[in-house]
Amino acid sequence: MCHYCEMWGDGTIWYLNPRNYARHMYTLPKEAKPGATKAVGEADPAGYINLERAMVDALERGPEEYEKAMKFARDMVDMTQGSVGGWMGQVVPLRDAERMAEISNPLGLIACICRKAMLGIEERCPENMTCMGLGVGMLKWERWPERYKGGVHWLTIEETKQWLRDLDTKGFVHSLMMFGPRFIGGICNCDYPACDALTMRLDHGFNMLKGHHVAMVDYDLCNGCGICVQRCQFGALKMNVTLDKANIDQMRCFGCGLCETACPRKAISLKERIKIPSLQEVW
Amino acid sequence: MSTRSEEEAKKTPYELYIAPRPFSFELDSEMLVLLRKDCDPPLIVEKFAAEISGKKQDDVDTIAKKVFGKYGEDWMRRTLKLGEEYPDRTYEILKEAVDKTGEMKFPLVLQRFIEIAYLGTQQFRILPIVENWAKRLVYRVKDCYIYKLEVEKCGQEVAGSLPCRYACLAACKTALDGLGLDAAVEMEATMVKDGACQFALNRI
Amino acid sequence: MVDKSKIKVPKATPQDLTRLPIKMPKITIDHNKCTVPFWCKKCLQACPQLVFQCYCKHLEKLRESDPRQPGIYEVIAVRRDKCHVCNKCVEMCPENAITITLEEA
Repeated sequence: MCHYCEMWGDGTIWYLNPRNYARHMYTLPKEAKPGATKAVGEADPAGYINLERAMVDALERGPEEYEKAMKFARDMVDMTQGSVGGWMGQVVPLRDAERMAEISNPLGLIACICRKAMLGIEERCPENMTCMGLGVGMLKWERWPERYKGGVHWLTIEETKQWLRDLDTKGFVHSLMMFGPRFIGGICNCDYPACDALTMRLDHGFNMLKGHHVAMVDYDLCNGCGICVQRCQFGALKMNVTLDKANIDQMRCFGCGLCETACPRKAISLKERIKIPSLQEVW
Repeated sequence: MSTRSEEEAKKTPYELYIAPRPFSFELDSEMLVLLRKDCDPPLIVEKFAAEISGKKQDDVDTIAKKVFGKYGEDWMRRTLKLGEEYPDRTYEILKEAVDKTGEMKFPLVLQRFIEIAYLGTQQFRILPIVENWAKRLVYRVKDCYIYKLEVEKCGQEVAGSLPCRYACLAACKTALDGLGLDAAVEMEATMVKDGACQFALNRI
Repeated sequence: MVDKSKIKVPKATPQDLTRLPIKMPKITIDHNKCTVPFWCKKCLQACPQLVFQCYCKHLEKLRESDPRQPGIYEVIAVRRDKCHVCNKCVEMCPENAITITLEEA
C-alpha cells in the first residue's frame, strides 16, 4: 500500500474510495477579522514555474542548496495542495481511471495547464482536451477563465470512459491529481517532458507517485512485434534484441499500463505492486 | 512546428471568454435569512419541549415523529422553493451540466438543496459531504444546533434518544420527492454514539 | 483515525548529488523585445528540451486574458539544466530577444 492508501484508503486503494472525491459546494462567509491572512492558492501566478526554477538554480549551487530547495518545494506542495511528502499525483492504469470516473461528480473536460505553459498549446476545442477536472469545484471554473481557456465541457460517465480509452490509444499516461487534503480533483493524461508533474518526478523526485501496478511480459506469448516499445514514457520498456522479445525493467516501471493496452497478443499483464516483495516499497 | 489543435484554433476566430455578469458563486445571504426566519430551530425545539412535558417516556418517540417529521417536511419544502427563487452562478452552471449530460441531478442538485437547508438553519459554515457520486450522497452533521437546544430544553435523556432525527430523515425524503429522485434514506451514524449524525441517500 | 507519524512517506532522489554543483548555460530573455510570447510561442515549440515556460502575468478573475496584448504573458527559461546550447531558440526568435552564454569550466 502507498502512504495515501494507509491514510485515506479505508481498506481499499485510496483513489477507488468515493470519500476522496467528495466536497461541499458552498461555504458561508467568515465574519471578517482584522489582520486575517490571505487565502492560500491565490498567491503567485508563476508559483509552480518559480518552484521548478528554484530547484534548477540550486543544482548550480551545490548539494546542500539543492536539498534545501527540494524540501522547500515539497513543503510548498503540501501546504497548497494538502498532499503529504510533496506527492500530489499518482499514475493510474486505464482500468482504474475508468473506475475513478464512476465515483466522482461532475466530470468536466478542461485544457491542460502544463502543455500550455511548456509548449504554448491551446486546447480550445473539446476534441483536443486532455485533462479532466473532478468534483464540485469545477462548477466554479468561471472565476478563472484564463486557467480554463476554452471552457469546461461536461461529460457523462460513459463519454468519459470513451475519452479515456481514446487518449490511451494515442499513448498518454493517465494520472490523478490532488487539489486539497484528501481530495482528488483531476485526471491528467500526459507525457514526459510536456507534463510538469512527470518531469518533476523524473528529474527532481517528487509530485507523481508510481502506480499500484507493475507490468510484466509473458515471454511465451510475446512475439517481439515491438508495438509496446514506443509507448513507454519512463524508459522502462525496451526491445531485448538477443531474445527478440519486449523487456521491462520493473524498477523503472510506473505501472501506467500503456504497454498492456497496446499489446495485440495480451502478452503483457499488470501485477499488483504490493504482491512483489522487492517492489512494494518502491513508489 | 505547429500542432493540430493550433491549426484548428487559427481557423476559428479568437474570442475571449468573459463571465456573463458579476454573479456570486456562493449562496444568497438574503435567502439564508428568510430560511432561518421561517424554520428557526429554537422555535421547533421549544414546541417539542412543550408537547412532551408531562407525557410518558413511551409517547416521546411518537410525538417526536409527528412534530419533527412535520418540521422536516416544511423545512425542506421551504428550502426547495427559496433555492429556486435565489439561484447563484454555481447552480446555473450545474443546471447547464445536468442539461447537457442528463446525469448529476443525483447527487449534485440534491446536494445543493441539502446544503442550503443546513447552512440556513445551523450555525456551521460548511456542511461536510462524505460521499457524492452517482450511487450515494452522504453528509455529516456535527455540532448540531438542534441537538444542542434539545439538551438545554429537554435534558440529556430525551436528547440522547435523538428525537430530531425525524426532521433530517423527513427533509431528505422531501428533497428526493421534490426533485423527482429515487433513493433510500439511511442514518449511518448518530450524534450520541459517533459524535456526529451521518445520513446516506443510497441508490445501490 | 490513522496515526500519521507511523506512516512511511516515500522519498525519491533522481539527482546524483555527488555531481553537484553543475555548470549550466545562462539564458536571458529581453522582455522589452519579447512582449507576446504566448501568441508567438516560437521558442516554446522550437526547443527540443522544453527549457522555456510561459505564464500569465496578469491573471484576472471572471475574464480570459488576451495573449495578443503586450506584457500579459511572460516566458522564462526554467529547465536550464537540460539546455545543450543548440541555439535553435536564438535562431527562431523573431525579436532577437534570447541570448545564451556558456561559461567555460
